[in-house]
Amino acid sequence: MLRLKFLSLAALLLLAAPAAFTAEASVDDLVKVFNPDLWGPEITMTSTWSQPASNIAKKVLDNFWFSFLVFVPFLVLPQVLLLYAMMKFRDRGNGRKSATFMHNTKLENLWTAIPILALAVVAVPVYPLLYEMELPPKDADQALAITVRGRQFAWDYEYKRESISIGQDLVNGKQEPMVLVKDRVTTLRITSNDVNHAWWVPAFGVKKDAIIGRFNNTWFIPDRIGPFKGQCAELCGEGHGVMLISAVVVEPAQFATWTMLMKHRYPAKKVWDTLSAWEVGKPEEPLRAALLEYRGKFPGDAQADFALQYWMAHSTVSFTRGAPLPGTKPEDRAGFPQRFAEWQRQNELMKGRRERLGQLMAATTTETSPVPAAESFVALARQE
Amino acid sequence: MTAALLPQIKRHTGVMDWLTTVDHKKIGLLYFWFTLFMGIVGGALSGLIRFHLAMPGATIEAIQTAHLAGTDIAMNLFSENRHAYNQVMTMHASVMIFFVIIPSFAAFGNYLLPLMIGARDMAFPKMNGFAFWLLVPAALLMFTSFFTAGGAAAAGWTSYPPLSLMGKGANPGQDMWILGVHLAGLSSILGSINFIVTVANMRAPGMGWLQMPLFVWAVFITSVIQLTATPVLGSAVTMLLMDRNFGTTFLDASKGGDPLLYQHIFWFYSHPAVYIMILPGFGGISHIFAAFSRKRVFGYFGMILAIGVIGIIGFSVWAHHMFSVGMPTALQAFFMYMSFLIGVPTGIKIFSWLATMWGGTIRFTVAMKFACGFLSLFTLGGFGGLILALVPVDISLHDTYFVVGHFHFTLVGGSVMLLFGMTYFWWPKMTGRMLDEKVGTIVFWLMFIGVFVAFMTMHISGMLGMARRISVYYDDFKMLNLITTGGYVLAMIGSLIFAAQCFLSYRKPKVTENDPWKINDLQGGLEWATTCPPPVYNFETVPPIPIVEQMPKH
Repeated sequence: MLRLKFLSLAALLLLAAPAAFTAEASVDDLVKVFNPDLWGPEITMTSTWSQPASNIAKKVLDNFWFSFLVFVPFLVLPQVLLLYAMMKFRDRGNGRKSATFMHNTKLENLWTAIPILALAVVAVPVYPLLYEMELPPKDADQALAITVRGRQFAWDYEYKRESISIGQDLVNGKQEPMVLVKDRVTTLRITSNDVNHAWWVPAFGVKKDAIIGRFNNTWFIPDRIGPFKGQCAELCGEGHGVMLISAVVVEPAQFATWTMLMKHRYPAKKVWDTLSAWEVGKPEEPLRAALLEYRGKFPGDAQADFALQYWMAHSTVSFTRGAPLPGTKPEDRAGFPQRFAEWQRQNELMKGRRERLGQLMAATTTETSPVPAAESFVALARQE
Repeated sequence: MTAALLPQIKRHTGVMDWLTTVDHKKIGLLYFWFTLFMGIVGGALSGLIRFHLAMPGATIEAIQTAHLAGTDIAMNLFSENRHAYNQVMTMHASVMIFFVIIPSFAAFGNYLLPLMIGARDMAFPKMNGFAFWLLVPAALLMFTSFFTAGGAAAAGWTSYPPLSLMGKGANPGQDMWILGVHLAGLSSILGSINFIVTVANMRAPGMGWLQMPLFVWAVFITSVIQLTATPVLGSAVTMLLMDRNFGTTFLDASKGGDPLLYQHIFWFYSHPAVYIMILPGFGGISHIFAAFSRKRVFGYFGMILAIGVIGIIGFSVWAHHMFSVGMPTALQAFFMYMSFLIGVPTGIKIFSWLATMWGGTIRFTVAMKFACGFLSLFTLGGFGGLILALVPVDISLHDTYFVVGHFHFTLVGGSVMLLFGMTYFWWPKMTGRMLDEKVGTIVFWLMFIGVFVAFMTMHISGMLGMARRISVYYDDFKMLNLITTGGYVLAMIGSLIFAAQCFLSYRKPKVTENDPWKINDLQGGLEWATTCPPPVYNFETVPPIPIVEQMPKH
C-alpha cells in the first residue's frame, strides 16, 4: 500500500519536475537552495533546543523537559534550604546554642527513597524513546538511505538508491551539503576512513560516531525545510574545528530535481573546466566541442541544458567562495598576492564567459530545435 | 621523653631536607606547592584557550571574511595553528587532572590523615616520598614534549585511537604523554597503597573503623578506587604505546584490532577517576560544615555508606561517556540507569550537609563560605549530570560545551572550591599561619561568580549546538564565548590571589594555639590536639581518643 503511494508520488514528481526548472531565473534559486554558504552568515545555527527540525529532536526535547521538571526540585530544594539555613542559623553572637541532633533515620530514608522514585518516573518515557531512536520504523522501505563516511576533514555521502556520491565541491574542494527530503525517513550508516569522527547536526537531535571498521546506524525524519548546519563532534585532529556539516532539507519535488542535476554533475564539470580556461575573444572551438561532448552524453535528455546552466551557476558561486588561502609557510605567503589577484581576475571574467556559453547553447538549440536531441549533435558536428 | 631518645633520622637541612624528606607533613606540603604551581600552569593553558576563543578571529565567518578579502584572519591565536590549539587543550586537561586535582587531595591526605588517626607517619614513609617524586618527571615528560617534533600530545586527554596512533615513530609527543601518565599512575597507586595500609593498621588504639573522621573514610575509599582503577588506565595507555612503537595491533581496525576497546578500558578508569577527584573533598568539607555550624556531622554512617556506594556504582557507569559510539541498546539502557542511581548517594550527601548546618550557629569563615559555595555549584553540576545521563538527551549534548560546562562545574565548582575551602581551614595546622579572612572573602566571591558565569554560559552554548574541542566556531556563539572568557578572568584572578596569599602567609605571625578555630570541644579531631604545625613525630605520646561516639547508639 505504502509502496503504491510512493510510486504514485514519484510519478507525480516526474510530471511536476520539468515545470520546476523551465524558467531561467530558477537556476539561481536552485543554486541558493543546493549550495548554501556553510562558512558565511547565511545559515543560522539551530539546535534541538532552539529549533528542533526532526521527529527525533522534538521527542528528545519533550523528554528533556519532562525529565527536567521531575529533576528540578532536587536542584532548587538544596539551594533554597542552603540559603535559608545560611540566613536563619548564622551565629548572631546572642549565645544561642546549636542543636545537637546527629541523625534522623526517617529523614534519611526519605531522601533516599524519593530520589529513587523520581528516577523511576523519569525512566518511564525515556526507555521507549531510547529504543525508538535505535530502530527506524518498519515501513521505512521508502527511506532515504545514506552512507556517511568521515575522513580528515570532510564527509562523503553516498545515496545508494539514487546512485549519487557527494562530498567535496568539485570547484572549491569544500564540504558539500547533504540533501534530505522533508517528512521522509532518513537512515544513515556512518563510518570512517581514518580516525574517529561524529556526524552531528544539532537541529536533528542525532549524533553518531564514525569509527573505522564499523557501521553505526541512526535515523530521523526531517520536518522543516531549509539549510541546517552542524559539525564533527569527535576530536579528529588539526581540522576538527573546520570539519563542518550542512544538510539541506527540501520538498520531494526539489529532491527529484536535485537527483536529476547530480546525474549531470561530472560531464558538466568538464564543460566548466573548459569554460574557466577560455577567455572572451579567443577562438570558441574548445567551448563548442565541450558543449557538444556534454550533450552527446545525454542524448534525448530534455533536461541536459538546464542542468548545464545550473552547474555553471553552481560552480560560479563555488568559485567565488574558493578564495586562495594565504597559508602559514613563508614561501606560500610570498606568492599569495599574485594568487589572490589571479583569483579575483578569474572571478570577474566568469560572467562574460557564462554569457557566451549561454548564447552558444541558445543558438545551437534554436538551430536544431525540430530535430530530436541525439541527431542535433550530429548536425552540430557536421557544422563544425 | 627526651629528644635524645628519639631515633635520629634527620640527615639534611634546607633544600636537601625537602628533597630527601620522608615526613608525611613535608611530603604533604610538597604535594600542595607542586599542585598549586601546576594549577597555575594549567590555568594559564586554559587562559590561552579562553582568550583565543574570545578573539574576533576565532569564528568560521571571520576566516571566510579574511579569505574572500585576501587578508589575514582578524586577531586570533590558533585559527590557523589549530594543531597548537589541540596541544594546549590536551595539556590543560592532562595537567589539571593528573597533576592538580588528583595529587592535591594527596596533599591533604598526606598531611592530615596520619594526624587524624593519631599516627606518627604513614605506613611506608619512603614509598610516600617516592610517590611524590614520581610526579615531577611525569610532569617534565609531558611539558618537554612541547619542544619535540610535532609538539606535545594533541589527541585530547582521552587520547582516543586511531587519532592518538597517528604520527607514530615520527612524533614522540604522544609517547611522552603516555609515559607521563604511567608515572603519574604509578604515583597514584603507590600513594593509595600507603593510605590503605596506614588507615588499616596505624589507627591509634581505641579508634575503631566507625570512629574514624569522615575525611579519613573518604581518603580510604578513594584509595581503594584508585588502587583498583589506575592499573586499568595503565593497561589502556600501554596498548597505545605498544601499538605506536612495537607493532602490535590492539587498536588498529585494519589489522583486526578495535579502537573502541581503548575507549571502554580508558573510561573504566576514567569514570571512577572523577570520583577520585571529588570524594576526598566530600570527606574534608564535612569537617568544615560541622566545625563552623558548631554541630557534629549529620548522618555519619549514611555519609560513609554514600561514599562507599558512589565508589562501587562508579565502576559501572563508564559507558555513559560513550553513548554515541554505537553500543547495544540494552547496554545503553543499563548504563543510563546506573548513571541515574549514582545521583542518589550524592543527594544523600548534599542533604546530610544541609542537615549538618540545620539548627547550628554558623560562623561564616572563608572556609565555610567555600563550603556553601561548593554545595551550591556542585548541586548545579550534579543536575547537569542527571540531564546528561538521559541517553536520548545525551546524544544531542555529547561532545558539546554542555559537557564541558558540566564537568567544570563539578571539578572547579566542586573539587577546586573544596580544595580552597580545605586550605583555608587547615592552613594554620599545616603551616602554623592563618590565611587572611578578608582577602579570602574576595577570593571566594571571584571564584564563585567566575565559575558560575563561565560554566553556566558553557551549558547554554552547548545546548545551542557548540561542539567542544574546536579552535574555530560558528559565529552564532560569539557572545557566549566572550561571557565565558569573562568568567574565566574572574576565576583566574581569584586563583592567583589565592596562590599569592598562601605564599605570603609565611610572613604572618605564628599561630600559638593548637586549635585556632576553637572547634575541638565539639569536633574532637586529633589533628587539633597537637601544635600548629605539629612536631616531626606528631604526638609525643599516643593521644587519647577524644572522639565522642560518631555513631549514636540505638
